[in-house]
Amino acid sequence: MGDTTDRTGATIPAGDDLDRILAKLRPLVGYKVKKALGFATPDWEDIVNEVLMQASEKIVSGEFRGESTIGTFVYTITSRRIIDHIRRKSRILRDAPEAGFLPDPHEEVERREQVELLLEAIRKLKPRHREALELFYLKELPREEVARRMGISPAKVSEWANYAKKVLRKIMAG
Amino acid sequence: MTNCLDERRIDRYILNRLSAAETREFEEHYFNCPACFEKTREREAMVEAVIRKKNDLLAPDRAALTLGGRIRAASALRPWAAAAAAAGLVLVIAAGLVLRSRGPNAGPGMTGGDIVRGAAITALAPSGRLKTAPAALAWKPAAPGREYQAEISGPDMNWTGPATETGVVLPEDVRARLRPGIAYEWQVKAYAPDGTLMERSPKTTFIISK
Repeated sequence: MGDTTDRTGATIPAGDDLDRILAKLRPLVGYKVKKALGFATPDWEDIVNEVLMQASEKIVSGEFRGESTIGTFVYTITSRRIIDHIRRKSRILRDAPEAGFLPDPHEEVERREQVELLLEAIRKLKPRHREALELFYLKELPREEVARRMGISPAKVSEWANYAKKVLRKIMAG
Repeated sequence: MTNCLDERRIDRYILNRLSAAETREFEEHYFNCPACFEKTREREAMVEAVIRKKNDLLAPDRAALTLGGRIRAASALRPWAAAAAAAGLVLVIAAGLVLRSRGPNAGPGMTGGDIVRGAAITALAPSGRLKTAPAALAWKPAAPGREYQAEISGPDMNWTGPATETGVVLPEDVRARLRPGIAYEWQVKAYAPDGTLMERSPKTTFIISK
């Protein structure tokens, strides 16, 4: 089945093209669903499959008329599906027993603020120090690998990464 | 459509700092821009790493920041401190020269500016060639009332953890990461209660036999 054009002349994908486009959107939908519902939620895959199936049906049936991009169209379906899921879960949880432990919201805010400050501090580092810090400390790549990627000696990697840590401590200390 | 996403905005999104309208705009953009989606995903991994390693990034905390000022003040008031610091520096440099002569994986270089009061801590074990990954690090205690931090560094790891005055049992996940044939260095540092670095051991190398 070939692609068709919409009223604006843009091509509406079909068949293999449509499958390819939706396959490319799968990780984006998954990411948004997990972010909205929590990365540990077990339902996320089912929701992603439902979103993509719905998007495919609407495009094939002609309900999608090309007034927006496919990306925006799928985004809208994803957002609505997430809201539906949350509403359904809320009805179930209303009658559920209270959780034994709830995270302290103040601690969560404090943690986020500190992480944000740390990220701001990392942005202020010189590019070479920042890259050494990111690759060596955050991505935990072997020192030789970092040295190879940056085109410097392993000793220099340690020097720049340690220096970056010192600068971060200084910035964070105000 | 908005311009492509900058780092600051991506960070704010990941940390749920955007308003509802800003979030919608942000998400709609990455649904249409694969490059920005990849940037967001990579940035998320970085943010998670920062969260995980926050304490390590800021360790050894305020001790290093105050060290320079405290040493200068102490040297002005107590002349013996300068002599002890010089002796400590000689020990540290000598240990560094010995470690560098042991091969390519001599590890991070010593920062020449660090001066430590008092004597160096005597490292006991592990050192040299080992049959298995060490279960613990051990040393002779420094002066009473110190707070200790142990460190292990190597090509594939940087670990820091609190310790008692005589040693630390290595967490299982740290032990599991020590690979045969790789030279690792460990060191212990002793801090006064106010966070000043007081003593430290020379960096000691060990290798697990293959």
